[in-house]
Amino acid sequence: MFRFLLAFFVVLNFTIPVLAQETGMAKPAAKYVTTRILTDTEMLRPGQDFTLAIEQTIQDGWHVYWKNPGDSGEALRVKWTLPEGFEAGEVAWPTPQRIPFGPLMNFGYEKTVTYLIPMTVGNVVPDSPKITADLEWLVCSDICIPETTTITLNFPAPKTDPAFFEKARALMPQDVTWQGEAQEKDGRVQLAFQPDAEILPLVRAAKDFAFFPEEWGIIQNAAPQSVTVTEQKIIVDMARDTRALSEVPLIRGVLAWVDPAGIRQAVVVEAPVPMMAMENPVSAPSSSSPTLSDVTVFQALVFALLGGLILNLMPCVFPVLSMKALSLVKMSSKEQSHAVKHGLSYTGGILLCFALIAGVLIAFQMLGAQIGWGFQLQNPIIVLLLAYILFLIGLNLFGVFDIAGAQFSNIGTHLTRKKGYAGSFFTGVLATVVATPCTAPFMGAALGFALVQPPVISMLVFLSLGLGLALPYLLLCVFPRLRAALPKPGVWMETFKEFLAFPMFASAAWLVWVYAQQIAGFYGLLLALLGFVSLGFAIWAWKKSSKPQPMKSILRGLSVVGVVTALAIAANSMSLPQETTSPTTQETGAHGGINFTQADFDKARAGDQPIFVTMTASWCITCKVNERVALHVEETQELFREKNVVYFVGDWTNQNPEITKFLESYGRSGVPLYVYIGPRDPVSKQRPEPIILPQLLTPGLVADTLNPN
Amino acid sequence: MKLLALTVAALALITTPVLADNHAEVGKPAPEFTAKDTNGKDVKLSDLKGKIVVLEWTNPECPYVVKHYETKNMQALQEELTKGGDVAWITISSSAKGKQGHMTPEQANAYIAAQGSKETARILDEDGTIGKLYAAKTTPHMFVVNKDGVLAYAGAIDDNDSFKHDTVKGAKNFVRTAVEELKAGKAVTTASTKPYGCSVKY
Repeated sequence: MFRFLLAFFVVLNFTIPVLAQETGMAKPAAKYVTTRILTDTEMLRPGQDFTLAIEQTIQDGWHVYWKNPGDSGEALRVKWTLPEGFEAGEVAWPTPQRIPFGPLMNFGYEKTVTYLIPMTVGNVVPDSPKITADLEWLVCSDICIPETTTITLNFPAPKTDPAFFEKARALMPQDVTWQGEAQEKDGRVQLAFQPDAEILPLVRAAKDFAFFPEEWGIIQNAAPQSVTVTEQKIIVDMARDTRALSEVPLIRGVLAWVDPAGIRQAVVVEAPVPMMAMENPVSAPSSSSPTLSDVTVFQALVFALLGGLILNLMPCVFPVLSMKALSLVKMSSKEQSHAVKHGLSYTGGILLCFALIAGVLIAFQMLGAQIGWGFQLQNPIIVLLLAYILFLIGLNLFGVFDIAGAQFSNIGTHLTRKKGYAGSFFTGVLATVVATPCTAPFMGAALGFALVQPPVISMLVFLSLGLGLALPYLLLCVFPRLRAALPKPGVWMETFKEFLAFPMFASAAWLVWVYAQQIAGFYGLLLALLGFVSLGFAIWAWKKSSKPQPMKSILRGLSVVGVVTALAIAANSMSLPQETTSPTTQETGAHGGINFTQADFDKARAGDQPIFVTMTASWCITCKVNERVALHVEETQELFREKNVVYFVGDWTNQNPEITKFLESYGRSGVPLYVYIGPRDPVSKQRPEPIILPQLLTPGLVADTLNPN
Repeated sequence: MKLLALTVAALALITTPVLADNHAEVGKPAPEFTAKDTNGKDVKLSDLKGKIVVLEWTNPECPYVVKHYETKNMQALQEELTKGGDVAWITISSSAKGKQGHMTPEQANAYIAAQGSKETARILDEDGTIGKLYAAKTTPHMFVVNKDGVLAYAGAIDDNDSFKHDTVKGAKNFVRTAVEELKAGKAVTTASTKPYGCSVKY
C-alpha cells in the first residue's frame, strides 16, 4: 500500500508540471537532474565557431539516456532559440554505459554527463546576444520521471575553465576510419572491424567491451556480447533482434572498452550490411526471394541439358565432335549394335567426368571453400595444360601425327573391332576436358542453382549437363536414320578435318592469353610459348624415331625430354609471381570501372547512387563479348556518367572468394553476372529490388534497365 | 518434435537472462497465452481467432502512458477500433509486485472506471510471463494480431516519442493504420517500429 501511495504521489508530481506547462505557467524545477550550460568562448565574434556544453548532474541511482536509449527511455532533446544567423550543430554524445533493468537494457549515463554542441556565430552579432535552450529529458531509476527546463545564456558569458571542455572531449568516442563488415548468421549478428595496426595490441589487452548501436532493433540490447581480437580484426558477436536489416544499410555505433591502464576508450565505427542479409530480412515474410526460387529443379535440369547441347557448338568441342560424328558415316547398318555401344561408351566417359567435376565442387563447397563453376580455369597450371591439349589435338587433326588412343578421325575403322570402345570412352573424357573453358550462357543459372542445392540435386544437374553434351552423338549412334542425313564420306572429310585444326589453335591461343593474365610478367609467357615448341619438338623427334635408324633411342629420349620440359613449364606456373589481386584488364581500366571489393560495394550500396556490377573473367568469352558490344561502348559509358552510376567490375580470372560469394548471393556459381541496383528513393529511403540482367547484353538492354518505362 | 522444441525453448529461457525475442516475431503466429482478466474471466488468445487483437502494454504511472490517457488519446482509439466488434483490445500490465504500476484487480478496475478506459479486457501479468513471451519492453508497447492469429504489428503507438502531451496531436498512429489495413484485407505497411516509453517494470 505504501508503494502504491508513493507511486500515486509520483503521478501527481509529474502530472502537475505538465498541466502547468500547457497553461503557460512557470516551468517547475527539475528534481533529479541539475542542468548547466557552459561556453568555451566568452565574447562572440561574427562568423566564429565555438562550443557549448550541456552538463547534467544526476541524482544517485537515477540515469538519463544516450541517443539510442536501448530498450526504453528517451534521450535529451534540445530546442534552441538563437540570435539571427546563429547555428547550432548536432549534439555530440559521450560514450554511454550499459544500464540493465531486469530483462531489459538501457544505454545512458549515471551521476554526470556533458554533451557538447558545436555552434556558429552569425555574420552580425547583436548587442547582448542571448542563447536559450528548451531542454526535455527522461530520468529513470526503477520509475521514470520526465523533466524539462529552460536555460538562457547571456553573452558576454562567464568563461569556463578550458580543462572542463578538454575533459568532456576526452569522454567522446573518437572518429576512426576502421573498415567494418557486418555478417548475419543463425540469429547472431557479427561485426568485424579492422583497426589501425598500432592500436591492436592495446585492444587485445583490453576488457569490458561494449557495442552500442545507433539504431534500434538490430541487436538484442540485453544479451551478452562477445568480443574477439584476432591478428587483424576486432570481432563483436551479438544476438540479433528482429528488425529487418534492409532498413539499416549501415550499422553504426560506438565500440567501447577499458584499456590496460584502466581508461575507458571508445570509437565510432560503422559496418555496411551485406546485400544478402538485406534481401532476406529476418522478420516479415520475405517478399523479395532471390532468383533461385524462380528456378525449379525441373527447369534447372532442362537448362542444364540445353547448356550441354550448346556446348557441342563451342569452338573447342565442335571439332572433336564433328570428327567423331563423321566417323559414323562410314558405318553400315550391320554394325548398329557396335554403334550403340560406342555411343554409350562415349556418353559414359562424359558423365563420369561431369560426376567427377561435380563431386570435387560439392566436396570443396562442403569444406567451405569459395569456388564455383569455372574454378578449373582459375589455376594457371590447368589453363596451360588445356592449351597444350588443344594444340596437340590441332596438330593431330592437321595430320602431323597419330596416336593410337586419340585418332578421332580414324575411329570409324576401329568400330569394326570391339576394342575401340575404350577410345570412345576417352573421346568423351576429352570432350568434357576441352568443353570446360566454354561455359555456355545457359549454364550460369542452372549451375548456380545446382551448387546451392543438396548434393543429390547438384549431382543431377551436372549429369544433365553432361547428358546434353553427349546427346547429339548418342542419338546419331542409336538412330541409323539420323546418320543417313549426314553427308556422304569422301575426300572432303580429310580437308574438313584439317580445317578443324584452326578452331583448336584459336582456342589454344586464347587460353595462352588467359594464362598470361594469371601470371605476372612476360617471362612466364615466354616460358609457356617455349613449352609449345618443346611439344612440337617432341612430336617431331618421336616421328623420326619410328623409322629404324641408329639414332632411334636418342630421338625417343629427346622426345621424352621435350614432353617433360613442357610439363615442367606448366608445373612451374605456380612458382611464378602470381597476380594475387584480380588483374585489371585493359578494358576495365580504360572504362573507369571500380575494382570490386565487398567493402567498397557495401559502402556504395549504403549510399544513394545507382550501382552497376559486372562480374567477368578473361577466360569467359561471353563476358568479353558483352563488354565489347554493350558495356565498354561510348553509348553505355555516357549513360553511366549521366546517371551517376557507380560502376563496379569484379574480375574472377583468379580465385576471389568475395566475388564467389557475391555470385552465390545471386544464385550463380560462375561469370558473367550483371546486376543493376537503382538509386535510393529520396522519399521512401529504400532502393528498388536489384535487377539481374541477362547473360547476353545489348546496349539497348542496358539502357532500358537504367531507364525504366 | 514439439517436445524437443519446447525443451530447447525452455533451456534458452534458463540460460539467457534476456527477453526471448524470437518468440514474438512479426509475420509469425503470435505466442499463445491464457490468463484471468481483472474481472476473473479467462482470456485465451486463440479463442479470439477471427478477430483482430490489439495488445497494449501499460503502466498507469509511466509518463508516456499518462500522456496517452490524460489526453484521452488511448481511450478514443480503444473505442474507435473496438466499436464494430471485430477488434478485441487487451491491455496488459506486467509490473511485478512491489514495482511501479502494480495493481490489484480492484485497484485496476477503479482506475479503468476513473479513466474511462475502453479495453475489452485487462490482464495483470504480475509475474511477467506474457510480457516476456512478447518481449514487451516499454509502456506503451503495442502489438496487433491479425484474424488468423499472426502477429502483424509490433512497436510504438505512434511516431512521436516525446512525453509531452501536446505531441499526441498530429502524431501518426501506427496501431490505427495497422488495424485499418488489416480490416481492408491489406498487408500492414509499417509492421514494426521502435517502441518508446518507460521500461516494463518486470
